[in-house]
Amino acid sequence: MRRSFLLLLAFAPIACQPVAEPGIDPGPPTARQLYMARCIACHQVDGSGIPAICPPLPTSPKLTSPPEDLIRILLLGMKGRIVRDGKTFCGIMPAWKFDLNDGQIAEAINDLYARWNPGAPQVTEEMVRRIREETASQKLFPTPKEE
Amino acid sequence: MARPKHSDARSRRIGLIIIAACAVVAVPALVVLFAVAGKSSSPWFGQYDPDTHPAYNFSLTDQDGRTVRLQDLRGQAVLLAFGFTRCANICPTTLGNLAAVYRKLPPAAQERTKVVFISVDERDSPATLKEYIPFFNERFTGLTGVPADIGTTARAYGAFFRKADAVGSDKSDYMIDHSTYTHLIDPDGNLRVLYRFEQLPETDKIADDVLRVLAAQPPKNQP
Repeated sequence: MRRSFLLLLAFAPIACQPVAEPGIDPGPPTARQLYMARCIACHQVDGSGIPAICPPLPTSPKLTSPPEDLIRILLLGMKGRIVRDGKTFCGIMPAWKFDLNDGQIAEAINDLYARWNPGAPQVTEEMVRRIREETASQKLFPTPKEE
Repeated sequence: MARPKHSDARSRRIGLIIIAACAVVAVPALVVLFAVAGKSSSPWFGQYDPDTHPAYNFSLTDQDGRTVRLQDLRGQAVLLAFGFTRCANICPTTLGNLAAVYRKLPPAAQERTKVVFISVDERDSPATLKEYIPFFNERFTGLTGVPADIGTTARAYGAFFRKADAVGSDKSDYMIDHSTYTHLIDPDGNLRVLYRFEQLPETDKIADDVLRVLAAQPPKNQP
């Protein structure tokens, strides 16, 4: 009897199953969730990019220059050759103007600032709205300016 | 001859120690065994088709002007997506994710995997694809063809597309609405797994599916 109990106790963990957590409505995606869903394939979780395709984000001069360039890139995308620190990258950045609203684009950029240039002034929804209007008739995927 | 009582107690104690020692060894071994067994029978990440449905044997033109038929790709797993090179975000994101899947495959599996992008846009020529495909991976294949062949191929794979509004004042600068599924075709040319666009960022899991498809059909020159 006692032996049986010891055996049962010894094998008990095998019968344990994880308990599913009840469903929670996640609400609108946060900037970090947007990054994880739409950006990591190229930029990677840590922003390190892909050799020859996508340059690293943490050292991007776009993060330390006026935010208008960054807003334009998120709205219109970009494709072509970038040379940075002697390395050449040639890839394509999707254009998010049809999918992300002004607030989401502002949040996405502020999230990049928070991680890699914490001192940068915050981008506002109004700034994105203005650039969206200015670039409304521009073609998608402009060629990047040399960095 | 009767053994003394203290000898019985000692034997029982030794027995319990042996059982406990066996349990200490057996429990982790069984946990690992169950985990491995569970993994091998775990659900596929994409929507798996257990039946055998041959994928449509398209015959289209690649970015180098060569004719590519699906049957030419026998022995390889094929990740197949439809789209167009001017697509603002769905196609670059899809191909970016498929490139990430491809990078996660070991070299031997990469050799047996083909990523194929079929353009549904009559503006896309082999030359357009030749410029576009390397943005993701030079080993990917971009395909185009006459509208009738593209239409037949898209219908055969359940893909949908239609011309949408122009982006600006230039009427030739229009978008195309299109479905966003990605097919995984097995090395025997059968439709095997289907992925929704939202699943594509889970590149580790898709790579696992690809490896599983490849493992089910080892190369013909192997015993």
